[in-house]
Amino acid sequence: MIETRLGEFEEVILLLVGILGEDAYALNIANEFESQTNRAVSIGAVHSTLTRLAEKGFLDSAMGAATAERGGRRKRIFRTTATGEKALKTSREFKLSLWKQYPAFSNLSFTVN
Amino acid sequence: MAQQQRTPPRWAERIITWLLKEELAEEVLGDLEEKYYQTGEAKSWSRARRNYWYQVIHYLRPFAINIFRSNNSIQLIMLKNYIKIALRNARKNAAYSGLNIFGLTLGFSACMLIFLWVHHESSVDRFHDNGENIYRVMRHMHQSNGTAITMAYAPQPLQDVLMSEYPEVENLAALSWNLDLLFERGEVIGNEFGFYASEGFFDIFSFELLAGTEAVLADPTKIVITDKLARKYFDVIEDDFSDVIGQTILVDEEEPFMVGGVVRAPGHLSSLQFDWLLPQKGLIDANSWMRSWDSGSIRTYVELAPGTQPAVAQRIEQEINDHVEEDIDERLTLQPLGDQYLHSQFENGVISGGRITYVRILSAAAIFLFIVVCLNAMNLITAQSTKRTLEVGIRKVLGEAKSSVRFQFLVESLLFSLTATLLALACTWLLLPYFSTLIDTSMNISDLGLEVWMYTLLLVLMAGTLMGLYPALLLPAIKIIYALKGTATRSLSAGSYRKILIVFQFSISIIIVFAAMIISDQVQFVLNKDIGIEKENLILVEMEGELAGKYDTYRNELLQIPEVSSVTSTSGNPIRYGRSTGSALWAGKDPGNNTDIGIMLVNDDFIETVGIKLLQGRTLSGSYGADTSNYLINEEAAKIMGFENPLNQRLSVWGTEGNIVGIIKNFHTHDLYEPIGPMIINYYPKRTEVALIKMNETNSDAIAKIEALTTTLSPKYPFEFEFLDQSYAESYRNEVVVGQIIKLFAIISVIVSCIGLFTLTTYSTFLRTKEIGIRKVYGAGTNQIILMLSKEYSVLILISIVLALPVTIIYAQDWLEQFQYRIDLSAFNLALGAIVGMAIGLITVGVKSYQAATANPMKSLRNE
Repeated sequence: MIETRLGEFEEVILLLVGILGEDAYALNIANEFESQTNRAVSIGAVHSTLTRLAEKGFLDSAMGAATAERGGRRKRIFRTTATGEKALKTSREFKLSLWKQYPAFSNLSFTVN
Repeated sequence: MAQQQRTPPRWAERIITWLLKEELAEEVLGDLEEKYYQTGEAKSWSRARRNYWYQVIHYLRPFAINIFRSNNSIQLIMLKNYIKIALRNARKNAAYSGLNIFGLTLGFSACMLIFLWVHHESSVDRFHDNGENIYRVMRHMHQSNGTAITMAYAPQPLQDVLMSEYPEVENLAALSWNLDLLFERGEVIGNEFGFYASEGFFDIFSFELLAGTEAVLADPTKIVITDKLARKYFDVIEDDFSDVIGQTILVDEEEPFMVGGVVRAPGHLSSLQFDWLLPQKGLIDANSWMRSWDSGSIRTYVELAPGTQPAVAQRIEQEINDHVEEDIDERLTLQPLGDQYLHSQFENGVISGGRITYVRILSAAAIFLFIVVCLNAMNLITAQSTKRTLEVGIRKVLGEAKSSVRFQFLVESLLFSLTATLLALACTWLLLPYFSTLIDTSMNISDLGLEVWMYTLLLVLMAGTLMGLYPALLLPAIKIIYALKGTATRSLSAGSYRKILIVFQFSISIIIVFAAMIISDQVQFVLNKDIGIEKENLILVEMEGELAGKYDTYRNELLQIPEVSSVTSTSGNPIRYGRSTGSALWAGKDPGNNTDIGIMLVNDDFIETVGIKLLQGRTLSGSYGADTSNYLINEEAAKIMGFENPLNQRLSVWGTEGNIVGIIKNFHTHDLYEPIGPMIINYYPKRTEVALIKMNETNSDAIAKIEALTTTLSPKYPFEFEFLDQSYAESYRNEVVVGQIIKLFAIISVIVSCIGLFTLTTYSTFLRTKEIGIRKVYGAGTNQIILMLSKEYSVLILISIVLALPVTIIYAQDWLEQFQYRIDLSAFNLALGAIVGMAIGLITVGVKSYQAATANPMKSLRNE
């Protein structure tokens, strides 16, 4: 069994960080998660996962710009690291290989844009 | 939206700032604030607040919070030591600690239940998004005799005036009276409850539409039903109501309506209750009389632009007077939506109470109980801690500061209050279902917001500080030298403060006992009062559908049932009667007199069936021929008309002139909060709507026969009936329930006070063990010793009673004032309460004293 080191929620968060690019800070990631999955999530839960991912070396972060609606406070912008992207790829390949071994799905083709 | 400053909840912000790791503070607070404004602008500000709290709670995760701000500091080590010592002490005096915690738990549980109830009551009708700007139009009909009748029903044209001439009115909803209509779809038939509503209904109220559009009430062919009705009449798969839209349902046997919307049932936090809504337009088109300014059939709710309430209130006041030509005085006021549930009672046009009275009584009882419980615990803790002067002395010798000793005792009392609160939470959780059945609300622990837990925390802190206050002040102050010598105990225990506490605590308990006695007496009085109607074994059946035209058959068949003794029909339930007129005319009536007089339309045998006493003249009956234009009046009406001999005087009601043929004794048509009003009875069988059936005895067999008969005559309508005595008792449910709760409170506070008294007696006899031993050796008898020991506390109890009496009398009078018919505060009752309080106190003290007095003096003197 290949160890992907990524939970389902972690994987989604990691992907969202990549998607959001320069706008990837905790609140925005939580909002994006809610709108894409229709599941409620608290900012705290997302933040906790972001911290864990950073500890694993999949993310790094830096303080970004401040805006007025945040009471002039800066936000922490997260970025995926090379290790993070590698982990995502490994995870996807592992899953694809599982899908291919599933007889009913094995002849489906997967297109990725 | 008002230009008011919106900021995130201050407390939530403080908590998160305090708990959060410093390096995370900036980004997290920024995110939370941004989220707050996003939610506020997209949804509502109250929701944003709630969400902020939600987010804060969810940030309390190990990664983010800062538990070990100063690990291994000296304070932390000392804190551990204090807790250890506290636990050891509690274990050493297990009986005392157990009793103390038991008392606290009992009291806290009761307070929490009441708090939950108050919280529930005050959140009714608060869920509407713009609730603070929604008002109900109230109409006050001022009578010539200076009184005013208040109702929520205003003339229908008012809504058009408000819509067209008042720019401040942003939304308006007009609701008809509540009514039960027969719903039918295939095999499913039932009487369903609801009202007609104008188009603005969904704009103003935040009832959640599950399917359909909000504009549905503009279309007179459509109906809105609740999810409950949708499930009853249609096949609903899971929570998908979209299939129900567009289907038809037969209403009132004639009209098929198309379902245009499914709304979530209002739930117990709404005082507006309905299972269906029909467009108001259809109702008004069918009833042209509603279009008149003389009628009053519509409840009007308005949503005003923020801040415009005073201006609108001023303009709206004379709106009816301005549109009606007759010389009347009716004024309109605006009542905030949030008040309509608790402040529903008006007297002469001014809010006089309602459910709020009971919220207040119970809150006061809960606060008092809380104080009693805390004082009691404080007393016990102090008594115990005086045994620990040696410990305090040694701590001080070893260099502990006064403030640390103080902190130690506060920690101990906080531990007590924390333990008790946790136990009380568990009790509350277990008892809540029973409690909410008892008081007839559906409270649920899951409805509770965060505030409740915040208050619980506050309770722990408040109670803990209060309880520990005295020992914390007292003990650090003792002189080391006396403490170490062992003589500090005597000097401490002699303090008079404990006596004051006992007096205070007992006074409050006695007040609660008195309150319980008085409320239950009044409730008994109300329930047993002769209301002028023989309501026992009297059944009311609504004559709906086919039954309406078949009264004669129905009556004849009913009289065949052996248990039925007589039958009549009237225009409404005589114990809850509302129809009245201001236009009755009689000879010599003052033209300026517009007093509303109740008018009841009845059938043959009315007086006999209902059991009203006929004072003069004869009853009304079809056998006299022209009785449709003859009248009976009650004593009150006779007084208002002012005839010397009212019999055979002419009286005209609604344009029909006739004679007064009899005078009947006054009977109550409302609850006992209101005086008996004047009443005219008219013989008019065609317009009677309910059948009243008097029986010799009530048994299920007879009811079954009546049911069988009713359903044969009117097969479509479900058989519904009520016993008048039961529904009379039902209308005093509030009072009955409050009476029961207060009784419970009285018992709890007496138990807690007795626990306190018992432990204190134990303590003071313990201090005097040696004295008692020596006295016995010198020949003192058991009686003398008991007397000596109980004297001190007996005097205190007596003082408490003396203090409690005037307070009770003042408040009880005040509460009783609101009943037009009430008990007198009898000296006997008060004396009885006082004696009971005294007896309980004396027994408690006596038991312990007896124990001490009969102990073998050898034992107490030996260990020298």
